[in-house]
Amino acid sequence: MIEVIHLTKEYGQKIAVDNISFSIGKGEMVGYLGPNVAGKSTTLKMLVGLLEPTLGDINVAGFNAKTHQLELKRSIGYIPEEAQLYEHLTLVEHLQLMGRLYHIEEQLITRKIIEFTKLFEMEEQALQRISSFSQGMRQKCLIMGALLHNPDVLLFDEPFTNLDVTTVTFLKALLKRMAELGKTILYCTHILEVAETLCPRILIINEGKIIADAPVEELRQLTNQKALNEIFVQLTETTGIEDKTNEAIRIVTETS
Amino acid sequence: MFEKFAIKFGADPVHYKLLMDNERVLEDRSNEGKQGISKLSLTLYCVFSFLISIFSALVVFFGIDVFIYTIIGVSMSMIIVAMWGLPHFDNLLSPIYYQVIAHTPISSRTYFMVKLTQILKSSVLLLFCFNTFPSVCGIFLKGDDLTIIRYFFPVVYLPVSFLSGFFTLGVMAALAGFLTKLYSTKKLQKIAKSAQFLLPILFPLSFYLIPIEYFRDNYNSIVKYLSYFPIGWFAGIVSLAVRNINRLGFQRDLLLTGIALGSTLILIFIPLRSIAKTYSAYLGFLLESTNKSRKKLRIRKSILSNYFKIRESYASFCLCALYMRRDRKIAAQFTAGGITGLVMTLLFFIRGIYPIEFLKYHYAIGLSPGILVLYGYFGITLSLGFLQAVRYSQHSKAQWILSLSPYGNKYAMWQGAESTAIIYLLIPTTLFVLLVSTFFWGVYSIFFVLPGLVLLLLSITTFPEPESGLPLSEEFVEGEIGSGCFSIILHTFAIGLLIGVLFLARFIHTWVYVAVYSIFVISGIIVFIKNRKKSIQLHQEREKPDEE
Repeated sequence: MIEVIHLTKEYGQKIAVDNISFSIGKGEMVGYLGPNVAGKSTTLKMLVGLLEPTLGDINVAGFNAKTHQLELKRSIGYIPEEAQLYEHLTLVEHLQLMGRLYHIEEQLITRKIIEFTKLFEMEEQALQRISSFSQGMRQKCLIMGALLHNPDVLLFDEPFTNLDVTTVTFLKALLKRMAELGKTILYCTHILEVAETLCPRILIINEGKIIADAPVEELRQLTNQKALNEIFVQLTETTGIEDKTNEAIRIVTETS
Repeated sequence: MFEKFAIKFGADPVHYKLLMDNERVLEDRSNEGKQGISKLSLTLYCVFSFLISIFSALVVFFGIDVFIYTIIGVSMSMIIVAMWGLPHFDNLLSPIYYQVIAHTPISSRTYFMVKLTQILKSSVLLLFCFNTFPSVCGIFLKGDDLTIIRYFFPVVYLPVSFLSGFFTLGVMAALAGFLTKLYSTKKLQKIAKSAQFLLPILFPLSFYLIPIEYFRDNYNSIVKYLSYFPIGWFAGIVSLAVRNINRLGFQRDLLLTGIALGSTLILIFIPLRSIAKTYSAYLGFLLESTNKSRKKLRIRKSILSNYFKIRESYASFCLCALYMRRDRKIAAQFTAGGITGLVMTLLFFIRGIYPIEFLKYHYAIGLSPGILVLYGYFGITLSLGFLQAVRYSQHSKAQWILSLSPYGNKYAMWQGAESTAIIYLLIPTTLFVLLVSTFFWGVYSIFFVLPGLVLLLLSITTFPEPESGLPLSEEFVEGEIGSGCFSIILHTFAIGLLIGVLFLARFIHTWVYVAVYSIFVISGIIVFIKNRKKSIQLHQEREKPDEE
């Protein structure tokens, strides 16, 4: 469903994504992990067409990014890292905009909006402007917008940011069910616990390169570590945590 | 100077300097890639003010006295500062970076002073540009009671005009502070928005409200009447300084000087200090939502949805129409010109400068200079002004929503913006002009409207779209009104040229005119329809999946 072949993104001298390749099958949910500035969001932006790759090829839902860009875009539901929205619109107007851009019939848009807002407990805020929303409510806006056109592939960049526990629990269950229904999900996150419980397979990127691509169990055996955060630390060669902590305490307590 | 002033008002010197540096960096960075348009805009405003000041200063040769001369100069100067300051007061009411520093130990007074300094800095430049020429011209004022000090008129007038400018800003700040206690942020922004439109009206309105002839006949009662207003108080200072002590009205000028100085000082020391103190409490409200909840969700379907063949165009149309109504930065850019024009037109007719015969006069059926000027002005300022404004948005980062969508043709999105201009601005303007024309020419009115309509439709469809092809996609830079003027001027010139061809044809021969008129209108309509069809066709071709 998602096929990334020798994908590279360069910003001048800096290589953000360095010749990565992976493929994700139908109904698979994959956790995409990595430290800050590892290249996770850049990969996702290239997959959805917001960034042009320097080199390499992308196929999503059987459509090539270069030759069938429109079909590819239609098959994707995307949640960006930052909730940048048209703030003068109300929730209903935002969802109407999304629906119209994805060619959903007006009646179906209306029906879906009413049902979605009820499901996400945002009925009361549906006619309020996004500018008055909290970060969590904005995140819900993005999630509803990404799911509205029933995409085959879901690309989520930190989707649970600012959400309350109830919504996160509901969304975890929802994503699992969607994967069972055959949706392909690439889940990009910093929260390793969520990735561990949700994603049977983990991709780890560091300094633009894929350094691990295996099921969680296989990674555990490979690294002789039980928890995913320990596996992550070992694979990304994050060393000297103890020293760093001591140094931080010294700086914080420094008075003169 | 500003730093000392702010510190005297209780601002923390370290925080004040730090925030000022920070604001400067933010302003510079927001201008990056925009060729410093914000600064250019202030320069343009200053140039515009200087030009107006030349005209206002020429009244010195009309035989008016010092008091009236100063009243004219000071009142115009106050309006200019208010017009410039009003959009910038939004920065005081809802500062965008407040949330970033809200949790740091920066006092509300310091933050308030930083915001106020930014407004003051540009106002000083503006006041200097507007008042320098009138202050020099004041030397040529004539009057029996003028003393030798009149040769030092600029030295007296300039500080007074600055004082009046600061008084205006003080009133605005105090009013804003007072209103924050009464109204929510949303209501305040609405008030500021209305005031932004009302102020430009004051210019033409003052033209009507101040009858020059009546001034001459009832000088004393008018002067007495004006003395009740701040403009009279400031005129009193100049009058006191340059006129003879042994004259009628000396006590009045002395009293006015006292009131002017006292009120400015009171204004600065009492309300401003109080606002600065309670500013943080006010800013705290900004973070809270003021909307009331509704229980039942009802979504209405727009009848216009059936008329759009391209769904992306409809989506873009809805987005632009909502931003046209809700984004006051966009609304301010295209409505200010329209409202000013409307008021000016009405006042011109009321005062008989342009008699009703000017509108009624026509060279042939379909060729009335009055109607064409009226239609052209409103069509261009509203429709093209909107298209220029809708390129920008303070929410331009949300353009990923449009970029990500699977649109077949880049132009489809911009076509939505064009449709907004046509449906919400051009059609009402056309109906208004048609109504006026029908009043004069009955059923023939359609012929008078057609050439203008064709030209405006073509202007809308040929107006340059943004580089990305998406509306609301470029970052809004404060005061970027001047940047789009070139396209609008170019279109106005083209429209003027084509109308000139019609006039020329009429003077050659009636039948030549009929032929040119018919070709002009028919070909215009054909080009417009073809353009739209071509776009739909292109879109449908792109929508079809490629055959393998």
